[in-house]
Amino acid sequence: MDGTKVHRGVALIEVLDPLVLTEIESDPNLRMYLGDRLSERCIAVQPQAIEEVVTRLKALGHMPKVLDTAEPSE
Amino acid sequence: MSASQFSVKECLRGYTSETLGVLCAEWALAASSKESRIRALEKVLQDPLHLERAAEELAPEARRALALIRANGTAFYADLVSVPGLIGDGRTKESIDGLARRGIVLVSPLNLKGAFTFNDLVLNGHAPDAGPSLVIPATISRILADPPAIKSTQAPADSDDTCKQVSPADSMVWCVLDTLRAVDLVEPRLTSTGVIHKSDRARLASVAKDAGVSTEGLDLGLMMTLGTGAVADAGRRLITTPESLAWAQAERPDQIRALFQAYLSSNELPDVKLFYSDLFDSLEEAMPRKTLRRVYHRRLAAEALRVLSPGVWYRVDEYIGAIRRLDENVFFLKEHWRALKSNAGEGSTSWRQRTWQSYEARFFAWYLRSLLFKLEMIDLSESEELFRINAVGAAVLDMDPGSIMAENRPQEAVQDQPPALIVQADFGVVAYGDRCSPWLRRVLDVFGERVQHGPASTYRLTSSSIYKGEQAGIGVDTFLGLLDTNSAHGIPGNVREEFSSWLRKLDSITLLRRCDVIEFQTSELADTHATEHPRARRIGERFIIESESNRNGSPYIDYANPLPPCLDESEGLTFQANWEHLNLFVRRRLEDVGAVQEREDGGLHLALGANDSRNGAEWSLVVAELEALATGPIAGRYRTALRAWSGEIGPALTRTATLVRFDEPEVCDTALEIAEIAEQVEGRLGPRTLVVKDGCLNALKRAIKQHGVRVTRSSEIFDDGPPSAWLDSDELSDAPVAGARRRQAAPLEEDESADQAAALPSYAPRIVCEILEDAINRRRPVIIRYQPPWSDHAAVRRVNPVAIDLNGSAPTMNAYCHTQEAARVFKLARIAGIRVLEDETF
Repeated sequence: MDGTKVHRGVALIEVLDPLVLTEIESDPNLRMYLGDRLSERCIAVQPQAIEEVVTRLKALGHMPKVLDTAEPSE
Repeated sequence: MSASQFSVKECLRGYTSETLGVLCAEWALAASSKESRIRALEKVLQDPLHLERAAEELAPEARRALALIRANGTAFYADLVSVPGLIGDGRTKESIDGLARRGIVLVSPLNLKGAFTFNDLVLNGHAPDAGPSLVIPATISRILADPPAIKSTQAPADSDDTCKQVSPADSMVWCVLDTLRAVDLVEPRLTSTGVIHKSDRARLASVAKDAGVSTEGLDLGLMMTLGTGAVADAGRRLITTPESLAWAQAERPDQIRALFQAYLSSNELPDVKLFYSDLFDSLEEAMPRKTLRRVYHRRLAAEALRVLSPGVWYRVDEYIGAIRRLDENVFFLKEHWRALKSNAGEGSTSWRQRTWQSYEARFFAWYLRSLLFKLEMIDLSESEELFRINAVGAAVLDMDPGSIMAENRPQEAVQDQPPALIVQADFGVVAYGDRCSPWLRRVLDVFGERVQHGPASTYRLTSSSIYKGEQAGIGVDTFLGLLDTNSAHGIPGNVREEFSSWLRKLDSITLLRRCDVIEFQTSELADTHATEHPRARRIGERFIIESESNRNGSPYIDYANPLPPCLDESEGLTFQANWEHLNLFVRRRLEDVGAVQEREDGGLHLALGANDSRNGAEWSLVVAELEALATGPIAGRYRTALRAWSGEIGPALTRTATLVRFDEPEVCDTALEIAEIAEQVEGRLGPRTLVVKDGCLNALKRAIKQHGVRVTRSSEIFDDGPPSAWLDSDELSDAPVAGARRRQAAPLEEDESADQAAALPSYAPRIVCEILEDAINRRRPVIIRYQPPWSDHAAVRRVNPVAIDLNGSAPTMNAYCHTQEAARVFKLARIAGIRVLEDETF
């Protein structure tokens, strides 16, 4: 045990503005799909609920961009 | 082109010794035993010199048969025999038999059982998708040249008048573009048999009709887009793929080639259904999927075109006659069943003549005048009696274009064309159909919302259309560049500014669908890892995303499966969760139940409290939530406390009482049988202890003494032990053993619903309860992933929820289960995933 564990296949929401994440967290229809906040701009989402999350975000007036996986940092 | 997956030796082992002897005789090989024959034949069939000489000697029809097998990788003997028009000269069987006798084609060893003889070709070769199948050894496949065209004579005709022009609205390319747009809008669902849902089909037809596309055009469009890969099945829904953009961006001949190839090879038969609606079921039965027979009519018509000279006028009637000469039986006209199905009895020559003119001739005329003309592969005279293959057709059919390239230049090459678009300040775009390239039209269809269809279509640009374009993989920059290039007056300033604002909005939220996130127990560990792996992306103090997760030694949590329980009982009314087992969703769920504190090692501590407002909620739902998260069955104290806090348990009553305790239960039993004693007793507190009525102690003592039992006073408290100890051991064995069942997150069984099950979001029982109440009110069926108590495997059920019962020890749902075809009761705590089927009702 080296103090690490891997979360395989988890979905994440990343935002540019932390306030947007706070707004997302306060929405009762989205809250049920959310998990821990990994940073002030990133939160875990149930991977099985991506469609529902995207639909709700669109209904809230956002334009979420959906990527299959994260791009490595340059 | 694919060569056989079997070696020569593997194929030959399926032959009988006598059959191998025939092959050896053909090659003049002297070998007596089966093994020596196989060795000798293998040597010859792998020798390039022998094979090249044999290939040179092959007749044209044999070479055409070989080309058909090579193109498919393998072909059933009966299937090859059933397409004589593609082989030619009426010597199909002889040609294939000759190839088989020389070993140039071998019989696939699958299902042979080592007993193949040449008689099997004839005896078992009836249905086109059964019987022996033929393969070409790789050594032979490599040296085969393309076969000569089939023999077909069609006399040229003199051009009588001017060419008919295909308007953009009639072009098959536009039809396909409109089909793609309809698929984009509807995203039609597929049934389990792969057919489009009836309601979605109607919506598709309606969208297509609004765009001026007929049902026939829509069917052909769907067939071609599926064949080119521009439309694909994504989880029981048809969607457009990036291939659609690549197709729209390709050169016109390449676009047409892709569509025509898709038409030639598609297993769908909308064209046959169009002309043989009454006979369609019988015809389809005789044309099994994935056989040459299925696409014979299309390939034969194409082969009859390939023998013509590009740029030369021919009569349509002559072309149809040529097809009839190649094979009148292309639609089974010579077969008895077709005459019977048509109520024609024997199928006389005159019946065949009439039927050919009524059906086959009309079909092939449609093939030329409608399909190929709209595909812009041929030119038609105004009278539609004559046709000629144009430059695009020659390119698509791989013919030598000769001198026609210069005179039949595609229309896109025309210079100084007026601009195709007008971009207006109110975000409207007017697109002139005849000036738009397919690529521009496709991009407009993806980005814009078409509000008016016609020669000049109008599109509206909105933030959501930009979003759709981005989702489809077309950058906004590409779109703006196209608008700039093709618009008469450029893009108005306000539109450009709004685009910039939309782009900023688009970048504000990103959803990463599937990531491997490494969590470190401390931020120092994360720092070290980030230094060692510069390409890894840090997303928090203790979290790093790795695109290639290769930390094999680390424990992992797989979010594709139901998340494992992680809560362990602790002292009092608390629970503990170790850091190693914590997933990213537990904390939030626990916070809905009680007070959560993070331990120093990163684990969580949950305390249930009497004054916690969260526990004022329905106690059974809180218990269900705890049961869902706990690694074992939770102790009764939690349930009792939660019940008590919610006011469901009445007060404990106190009273001072006098007790009488006997040494043995039998004595106590006997005492109660004596009326004098029983009269003084208020009740029994255990196997040995009785409660005495107020003021009756002395009378009781007297009665006991009368029966010889001594009575003494004692201040000690006697305990009969827990109620379970009062029972006999036999009775104990029947007590429920709650701990017998233990849930671990087991992978789903490998069945067809596994994908569906993995895609079910999981919720806390409280949310499940709300979802179910909503589904009940709106009469919507739901799919649940249910963890039955008797199995470690979660089962996926489709149920019609009827009622929710929150009374009793555990909240439950009463529902009709489609899997069991009966009413069932489901515990909410065992529902590990749920989705409401919004499109259906019950």
